[in-house]
Amino acid sequence: MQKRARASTVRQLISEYRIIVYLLVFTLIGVICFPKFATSRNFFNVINQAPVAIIACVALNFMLIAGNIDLSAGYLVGLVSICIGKFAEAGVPVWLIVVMAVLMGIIAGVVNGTLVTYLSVPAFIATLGSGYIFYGIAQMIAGSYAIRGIPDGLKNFGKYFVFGKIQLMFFYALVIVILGYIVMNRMKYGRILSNLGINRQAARMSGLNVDLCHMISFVLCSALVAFTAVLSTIRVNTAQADMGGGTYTFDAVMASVLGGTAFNGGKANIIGGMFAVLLIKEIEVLMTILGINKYFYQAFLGVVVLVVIIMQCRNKR
Amino acid sequence: MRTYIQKNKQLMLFLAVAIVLIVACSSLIPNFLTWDNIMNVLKQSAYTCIPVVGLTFIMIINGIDLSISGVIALSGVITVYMVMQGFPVWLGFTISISVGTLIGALNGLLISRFKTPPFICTYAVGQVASGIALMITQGNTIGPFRNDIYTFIGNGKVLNIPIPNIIMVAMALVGTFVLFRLPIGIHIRGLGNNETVIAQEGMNLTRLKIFAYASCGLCSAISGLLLSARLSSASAVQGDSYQLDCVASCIIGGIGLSGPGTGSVILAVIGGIFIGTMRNVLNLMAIHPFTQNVIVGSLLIALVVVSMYIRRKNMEADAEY
Repeated sequence: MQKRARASTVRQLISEYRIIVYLLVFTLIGVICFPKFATSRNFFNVINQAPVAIIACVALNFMLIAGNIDLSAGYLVGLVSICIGKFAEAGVPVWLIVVMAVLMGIIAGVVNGTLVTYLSVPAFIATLGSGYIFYGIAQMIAGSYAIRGIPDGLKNFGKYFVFGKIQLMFFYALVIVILGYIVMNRMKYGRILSNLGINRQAARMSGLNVDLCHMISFVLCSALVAFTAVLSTIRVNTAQADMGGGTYTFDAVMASVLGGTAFNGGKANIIGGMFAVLLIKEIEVLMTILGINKYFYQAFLGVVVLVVIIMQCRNKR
Repeated sequence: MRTYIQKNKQLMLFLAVAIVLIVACSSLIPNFLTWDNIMNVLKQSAYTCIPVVGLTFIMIINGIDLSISGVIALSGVITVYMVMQGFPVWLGFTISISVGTLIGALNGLLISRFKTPPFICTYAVGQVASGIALMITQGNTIGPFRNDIYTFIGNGKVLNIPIPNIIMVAMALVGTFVLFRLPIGIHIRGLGNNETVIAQEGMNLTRLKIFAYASCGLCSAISGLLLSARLSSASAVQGDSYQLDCVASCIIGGIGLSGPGTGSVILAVIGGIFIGTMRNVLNLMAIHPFTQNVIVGSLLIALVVVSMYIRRKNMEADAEY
């Protein structure tokens, strides 16, 4: 009896983290079929490219689980990026730059949250509008110029090498994933958020302060997004208003859904999201190695995502 | 009269904003109320307003279509590519319109049969479509070239009215007719209002959803080929700026604001023209495009906040009644 119970738990775990199986299978096929793929350089490439997307995925999970969406995230990245570029030019110390960036994220989160909760604008529309605004402000500050060259101090904040060739960024992402997992799965707040996603009306009737819970989730999401802005500015060594952009939210949502987060709310899977990002990056690296036409890549990734989503949704039915 | 105003508060809000805007602009900006400028505004909004007709159907059934930009790109690229290869123009049009409709139908099929979330499914399909456009163009702009029929469709005028606008008006009328007079349109509105009831009535949900998404694909394809005909050239990124404007137009047009399953094609198209007018006014006032984004975004939020307020008041009034 106990054995059977354990077997079903294992099966449940496997179905929950199916994406890890996909990742392993894909890696195995890649390593066996393409000897060029199995080099340490490629491994570190994948690891060092992933952090920004992983943190973005965690951030969007806080939106998706409660049945919200943040379309302004990509434009917030541009705004924060150009601002920290200006700060760095002015010689502001590194720690202050990071704090200011996260603070900007918090303010943006409060703006979005206020629109969604107290002014009862649907999240989709509110963040679409605030996205336009963030983008406009970012472009006004940038004045159609990008700031090239980030000072070494700030660069070391993200690109300092630990354990040989792994950048510090990856460890930030790991810590954030673990914290996110704890908040989502081990804390009361995560359960409240998932209840909000399943049935908002019932949550309100049971006496929860629904508005405050939504507000906190918006603030968390935007703060994380602002942090990714710092990291991606360091990564490309340029501060620009066009960073992030419209595809940022969609890519993060795509990775989350691949990882097993329910798009309609109620269930988040942060660990799965992390592995989904790694899978996508592996596919990117493999396609570069094989020299596949880079214009083919976008269509191919779209097809992969469609196939995986169809498989996941069929299992749910 | 009074009940009419109460019933159509969204329309009244529109009229009020539009009248204030037109009076203010025509007194402040000398060139605003000229025939040329009005035609210019209408022509520029046509490329947003045509997909909006189809998007209305989707937003009414609580869906969303994010493949609009991909379909606009792909249909333009296919037309230009075929005409450049020496095929007749009508064949290019037919093929690109059918490809757009098929992509829309694929969206509908994936969403209704496989229960994929519309947001993520249509986005992935849009990525595939613009990816194919990228593959055809190899990342470049193809064209321009000379073809009289093609240029006429993009730039010509009939009775001094640009052809894209004639198509826009025709499609808006057809869309309204389908939505409010044909059985399928009535079923679609019912589907938006209450999916369970429509399913229990024995309606074919798959058919309805495929119809809604396919009509949006059709409209986006038409917009894409008109856009490429305007310059006789096409690129894989030509649709990118239209996606959000289309969704914003539908929102400003008040789809779903007075309850699930409500909304009208004409109001959504007016929403599109409204955004176009705003951008034109800001252009004439020599305000930088960067600042325009801030203003358009604030306006979008402000309009929706007011609409939500009206809706809440309506609901309270209903409760009292």
